[in-house]
Amino acid sequence: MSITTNTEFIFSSELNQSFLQALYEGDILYASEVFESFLIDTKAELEEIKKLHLENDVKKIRYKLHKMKPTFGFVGLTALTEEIELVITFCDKSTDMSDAEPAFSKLLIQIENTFPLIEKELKRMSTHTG
Amino acid sequence: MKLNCIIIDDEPLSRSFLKRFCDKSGVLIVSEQFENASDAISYLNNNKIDLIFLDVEMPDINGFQMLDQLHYLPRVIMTTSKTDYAYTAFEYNVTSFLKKPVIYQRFIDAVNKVLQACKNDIIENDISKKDLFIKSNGNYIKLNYSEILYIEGMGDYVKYVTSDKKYIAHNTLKAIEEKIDTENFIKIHRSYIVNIKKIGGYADNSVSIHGISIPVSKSNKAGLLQKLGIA
Repeated sequence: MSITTNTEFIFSSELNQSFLQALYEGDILYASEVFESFLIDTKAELEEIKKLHLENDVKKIRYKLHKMKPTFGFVGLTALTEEIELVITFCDKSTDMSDAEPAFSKLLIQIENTFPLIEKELKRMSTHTG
Repeated sequence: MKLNCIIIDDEPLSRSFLKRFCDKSGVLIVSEQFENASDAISYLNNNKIDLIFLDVEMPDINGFQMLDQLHYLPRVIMTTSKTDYAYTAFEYNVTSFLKKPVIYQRFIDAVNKVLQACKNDIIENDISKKDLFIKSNGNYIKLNYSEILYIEGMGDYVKYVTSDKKYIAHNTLKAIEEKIDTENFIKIHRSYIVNIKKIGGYADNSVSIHGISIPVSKSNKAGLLQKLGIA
């Protein structure tokens, strides 16, 4: 099922369509800006998290994940916020990353897998807005 | 009614959404945006703001620690991605709590709650000559002016002191001074308005009320002595 955010544009079904509809209320130009910022910021943050992982810096990884969490909602990846929360909970309980390791590694892959999806959506919006 | 507000959030997209929603509301003017609490504290202590959109988890100082450091307390809408903070937010008497990411409808519901609270403050401040209603711990309490010993100003809060109780309310001494019955009350210091009938003595530039010594400032001394008939 598709839900339109204005008379023409339909967000992809891989994203939380009803949430995006309520969030942007048809303003696809603003949605494009947010999706673009998301890609730039999240890619940079992910690289920093990978470095922090090598340093086993649980506290900073936790802070970065917490900061990133709502931004996934802004691009309709609401389910992923729960995965992030799971890793945050591991980080809260641990002094190193070993306990969080399986969930953390899985999360990194999941985040990286979102980039092509968001890039594709951005292109669709760009085409739509001309 | 329009409210001056600031946004404090370390995440740029969250700030962007809040700013956009504030502009759309037509009732909020965003004076400033901050990515950390330290910068916001110095701004807030030098500027009068009606409402803060406040994130909890930020580097160095968190949202609650920030509230502890303010000289006055504006209305607060807490914005966070963790609901775990709801109880603490309640303890800090924040007006509303928004879980990020936020859609406009939830945002405006929270803002309406703040507007209603501000209207209640105005009703509270519209005091009669005999009685006043003060909001303390979420309840309205009726006080007769004759019960009040003195009123102490504490920034944007005031403390009403009676013979057996103290009530703290969101108000300013200046606002009270403009409305209060000057037959029975007098300002004797920048932080004190006293009930003339309750003054038990005067000595050494201070008055005594129920055993409590309250300072009299130089600028208010002559007026007080005249009222007491000892000038």
